[in-house]
This record gives sequence, C-alpha cells and structure tokens, in this order.
Amino acid sequence: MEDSRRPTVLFIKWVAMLVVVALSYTGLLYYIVINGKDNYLAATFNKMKLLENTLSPKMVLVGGSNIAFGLDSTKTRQAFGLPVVNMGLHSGLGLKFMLDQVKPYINKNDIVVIVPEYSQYVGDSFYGDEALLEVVMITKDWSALGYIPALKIPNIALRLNRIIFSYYNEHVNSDSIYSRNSFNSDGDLTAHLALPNVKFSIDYKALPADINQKAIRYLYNFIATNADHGITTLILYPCLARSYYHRQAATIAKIAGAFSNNGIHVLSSAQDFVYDDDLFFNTHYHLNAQGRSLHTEKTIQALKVALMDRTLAPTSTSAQNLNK
Amino acid sequence: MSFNSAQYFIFLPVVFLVFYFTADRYRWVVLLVASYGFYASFNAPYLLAVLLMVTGISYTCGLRIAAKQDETIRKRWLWIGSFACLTILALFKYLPFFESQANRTFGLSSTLSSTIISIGVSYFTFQAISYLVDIYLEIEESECHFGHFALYLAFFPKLSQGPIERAGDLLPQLKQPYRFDYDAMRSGMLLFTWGLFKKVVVADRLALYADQVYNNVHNYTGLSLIIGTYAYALQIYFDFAGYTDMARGTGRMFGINLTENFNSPYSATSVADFWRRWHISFSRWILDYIFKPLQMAWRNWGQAGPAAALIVTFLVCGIWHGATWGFVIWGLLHGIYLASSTSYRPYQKRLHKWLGVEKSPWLKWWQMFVTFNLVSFAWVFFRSKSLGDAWYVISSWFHGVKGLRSDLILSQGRQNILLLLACITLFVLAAIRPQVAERFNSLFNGTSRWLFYYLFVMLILICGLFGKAEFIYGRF
Repeated sequence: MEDSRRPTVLFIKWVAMLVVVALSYTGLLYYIVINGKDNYLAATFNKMKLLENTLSPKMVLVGGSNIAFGLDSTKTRQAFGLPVVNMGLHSGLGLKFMLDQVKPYINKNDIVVIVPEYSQYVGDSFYGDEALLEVVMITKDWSALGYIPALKIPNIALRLNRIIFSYYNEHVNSDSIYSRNSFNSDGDLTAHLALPNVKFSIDYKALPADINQKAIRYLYNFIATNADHGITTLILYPCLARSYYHRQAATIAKIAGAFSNNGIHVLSSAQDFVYDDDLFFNTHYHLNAQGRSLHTEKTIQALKVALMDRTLAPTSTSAQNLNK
Repeated sequence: MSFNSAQYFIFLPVVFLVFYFTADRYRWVVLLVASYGFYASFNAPYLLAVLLMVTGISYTCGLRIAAKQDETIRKRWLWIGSFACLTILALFKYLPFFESQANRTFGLSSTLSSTIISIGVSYFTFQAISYLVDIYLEIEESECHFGHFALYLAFFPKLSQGPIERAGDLLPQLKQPYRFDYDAMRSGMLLFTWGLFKKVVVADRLALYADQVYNNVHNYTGLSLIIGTYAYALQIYFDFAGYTDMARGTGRMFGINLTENFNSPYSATSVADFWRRWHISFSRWILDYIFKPLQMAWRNWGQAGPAAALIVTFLVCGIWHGATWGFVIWGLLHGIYLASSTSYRPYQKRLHKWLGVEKSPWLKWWQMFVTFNLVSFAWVFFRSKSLGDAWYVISSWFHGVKGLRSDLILSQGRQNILLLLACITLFVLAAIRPQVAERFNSLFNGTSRWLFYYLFVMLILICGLFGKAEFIYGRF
C-alpha cells in the first residue's frame, strides 16, 4: 500500500516545495524591486509625469538608454524652440512597449523622434525582457506583462535574480549612476557627465542575424498612424562605439536594408552616429560628456534637415498596402 | 532548449508524467518523441534529419554486419557505415574550414557555416560507430527493434553532450520495464539540482573572469592572465561536469543509469590519470577505437609504437574539437605529455626513491599541482581566440599585474568573488576530505532534508546566472 502511494506522495511533496520556492522567490524579488525607491527603472514614473504634463507641440525622444545618456535635451529645445521630453531609459523595455507608452500622450504637431538600439530590430528584444518585467513590478501595471511572449517570462524571471544577488552592492553600498535621481528635468541622464570613462568590453553577445519583420511593420504602422493625426515621426540610428560597429556591420546593414525594403526612411546613415570608443562612458551605447555634446549637434542637424521635408513620412494608406 | 533554461524545467516534469502514466510497451515511444522534440527545440530542423540519417545508416549496417558470415562482407558493411557516419560528422565539424577555403580559393563570400549548428552530432555519431564496431567484433548483438535503436542514439538527456554510451550499457536499460523507485527518483532529482548548481552558480560565474581576460588578453598581464587561465580550467570542468550530472540525474528519473563522465579530474596525479577521470566516456571511446587499433598496428615499433599511437590519438582528439590550430596544439600537447610519460616513468620512480619521497604524502600533492598546471597550460590553447593570443598569454604570465584589481577582480562585484571562493573551497574540501562530502550529503538525507532542499534551490535561484551561457561542450 505504502509503495503504491510513494510516487504520489513524492510528487505532491515536490510540487508543494516548488510552489513554496516560487512564492519565496517572487516575494523576495517583488520586495526588493518595490522597495528600491531610487531604482533606475523607477525613473519611468518621472518620465511619464513629464510626458503627461508637457503641452503640445513638443518633441518626444523614444528609445533606450542610448538617448538617456547621449542626448542633451536643453540644446535640442533651444534648437527647435519646442519642449523636449527624453523618454529614453532602457532597451530592455522593448520598442513595442516604448511606442505604446507614448502613444496616448502625443498630439497634433508633436514631433516623435525614435532612436532604438539595433537589438530592437532583430531577434525578440522588441517585446522586452527583464527591464520590462521590473517596470511591471514597479508600476504594478500588470497588463504590460502581455508585451512579453508567455514562453519568455519564466526565463526572464530567472534572469531577474541579479537584482537580489547584487542587492547589497546597488542599494546598501550605492554610488551608482543607475539611479532614479540621475536624470535632469528633461529626462536626460546627467550623473555620468562629470565622471571619467569606465573601461568596458565590446565583447557583448553578437546581434541575432534574423530581422524581426513584425518590429519593422509595427514601427511603420506607428509612423503612418501618427502621420494621419498630424504628428511627425522621425527615425534615427543610435550612437555606437566604432569597434562594436565594425563587429556588427553586417547585421546593421541588414537592418538598414529591412527599413529600405519596408519603406521606412531613416535620417542619415548608421555610420554617421558611429564614434570613437573613447567617447563612450561605460558601454558601446552610452556616450560620455564629450560624445554627448558631439552627438547632440549631429542629431540636431539631422533633425533640422528632415523637418524641412516632411513628405517622407508614410501614411495609413501606404501602411495598409504594406500589411497586405 | 538548454538544461539550465526554464523551458527544460517545464519540459522534464511534463515528459516524466506522460512517461509515468503510459503503459510499459509504449514508454519507448514517449521517450523517443520527447527526444526528437528536445532536439527540434534547437530550431535547426536539419539536425533532426541528420540524426535520422545516422540512425538509419547505423541500424541498417548493424543488421547487415550481424546477418553475414563472410568476413569480407562484414568488414565492408562496417566500413560503409563508419565512413558514412564520419563523413556526416566531418561535414558538420569542418564546414567553417571548408567554407573559408572555398571563399579564399574561389573568391566567394559564403556565410553558410555561421548559421549552422552541430549540437549533439559528434556524440550520436560516435555512439553509432561504436555500435557498428562492437557488432563487428561480436561484442554486442545487433538491435532489431528500430524504435529501441533510435532511442539509443537519441535519448534526450545524453543527446547534446553525451555521455557517449555503449550499446551494451544503454540498450538493455531502455528495454527494461520501468518501476518507480523512490530512492532513484530522489537521487536523480538531487543529482540534477547539483549539476545545475555547478553550471549556473559556479561555472557561469567563473566564466565572467575567464571571458573577460580571454576576450581581451592584451588588456592584462601576469597574475591577471594566470587567474583568467585558472578560472577557465575550473569553468570548463564545472560546466561539463554540471551538464553530466544533470544528464545522469534526468536519466535516473526514467530508470536509466548513464555513465559517470568525471571523477575529480583535477585531483589526478598524472596526465594519464587525468584522462582516466576526465570525460571518461570519450576517453574510453578514443582508447578503444583509435588508440588500441593504432597500438596494434605499430606493435613492432617497440617503445615508439605506443608513444606514436598516443600522439596520433590525441591529435585526432584535438582536431575533433574543431579545425583550428589551438585545438590541434591542445591535443598535441596532451599526446606529448602522455607519450613522454611512457619513457620517463621508470626514471621518475627511481628519482622518487633516491630523494626518499616515494611514501611522502607531499608527493601526491606535488604531482596533483604539476598535473593541474600542465592541463591548465594546455587549456590556454584551447580557450584562446588565436595562436597569437595564446602566445601572448604564455609569454606575459610573469610580467606584472596589469588590470588585476580594478578591472578583473572587482569588476564583477565583491559578492561574486566571495561566492566563488566559498564554492571552490567547499569542492576542494569535499575532494580531499571525504568526511566533508559525507557531512554535506547527510544534510539532504536527514530529518530536515526538505528544509535543505528548499535552501539549496533558493541558493541556485538567487546566485545562479541564467540565460548567460550555453554549455561549452555543446558546440563540440
């Protein structure tokens, strides 16, 4: 009798233990995330508030940390005479979420400048990863979980353990620039500007070679819908360290090809925003003060040229044709 | 689907439940479908086609060898089967090499090889060849049941990285009716968890240092390079041993005992001893199917015969890892270590006697230290991106400490260093003092075992690095 029960008993015990483990892990993670008041990703609250409170016409910068670190919104505001909201925070939020996040707050005559990292157009980064899950917990906006493919969520939850593992370093012993307080009133990250460069390796994982066609189409539709509502949408390539660019040039060329094939006009070329490695602060996307200044000038120039010719933007009619 | 992914943590219990509730006569079908599903999860449909091709070839040739009496015909079928399997393996392994040669010669710009993966191909091909040879030598009988044979090659716990199982060991187990065994199930789960700990907590955290150094060797000198090299030596062990534990743990849950692949290799007292403890199923394979035939063929060469056979065997072993000079030199170095040991061993014993250290406990420690360093030296060629990098590492070992403190040791955080030191100390203590290992094991067998299961799983969840790295030997 006992033998016949044993598999069931063992099974029940293991399931019970796994439930306890899952609850403990999620609880611990949740506790640490929501108690991290100065958490870098908690800056999403500030950015959303800024977006809501800035009257149109305005310029909204959408992208990952490359624009948080690399653009000077004050100079941009002065150049265009428009209030600028820098929504750049983390590429891990996924371009889909970033676009949907700003959609309700942009109105006629607004200018949306989209500068995502290259990873958003390949593989499945478009749907977000750990950063998005963290933002979901911080904002308690559980509906945003829907952006992440269901099968990816368990792996993402496992990877998020770095928050628990590095809790001491980042919260108790904190002198990190990755803080909610590191941003200025326009949403630019400025805490790193006075700091010396941190040595970084360019041996990051290579970009996946497969273009995410859904991401390209989503972007196209976003531009087209905006055009119908009198909103100008401009796409830019992100800034990038030269050594990393050389390693990823083939994939970046493929991305440029996908834009061209899908009728998306990107201002200037990828090479225009490639800078020497010593202009980067701590990763191949994060410019230092000197790099930021140079990149801001070049971006303003590119935007000025593009705003003189708005006929390049697609419309919803052409979007329908593309979707066919 | 890697063993350290959330998908596998879901896949495994689902397969087990289906297996458990299926009648004995159909259980092989469950395992075969699960194995093919597991292989298909690597998103490379051609891999499944290759597996089916190797299965079909070796099954057919095996039956032919067994059915014929004529030695010439038997030998012909053995050669046909082995050659076909080896050709498939060579095409996969050396496609990048062939492609680069073709690109250079014909001015092409093909990038086909960068999109091709060869996970598991070596392992099931080696199994297929050993099966054919064993039938030819009449060590084993051919398997008539195609399903059982297909499962022998494809059984998912050992599909991607081995162990390389002999037909005589695995096939009878696959045919046995399954009976639930509480202890086997529990020990299987523990072994799997232990392997996961080795991989995600120890190996992948060591990889942070090894990769940092070996991806940019010119940023470091001296002690930093030594630390990077030792970190890699430990990383590759924990990575592969972790995988093997997970594979064996999974097998045990299904009532299958897979071969133990590692036996504390870094406590080996000679390089020969190291190969008796490292990747055991592969070492046996190359010993039986490469070294022994060569030794037989060159038996008239005197002492030079075994030495030459060892060098050639390990050269082949190096080339098997890939068509780069680094792997060739790695294999050659091990061949030279082993070949030279056949000559100096008698003198070594005399020297120990003369020094009066033959019974000293320190001798063993000294031999372990020397062996570990010889093996680590060879890993430099295995891990370096190029021969130039390997030469830089070796020539800069004793020059300063550039990049040591701020760039290397502190770059991954103090908690990383502390965790690794604690883990390595625990492993070293367990290796040298069996009581420590027993004490540790007793935690998982006593009355509070569920508490320790919980704590151990939580430790892995908090300290593990998930989704960072694939298993190193997956690409071989």
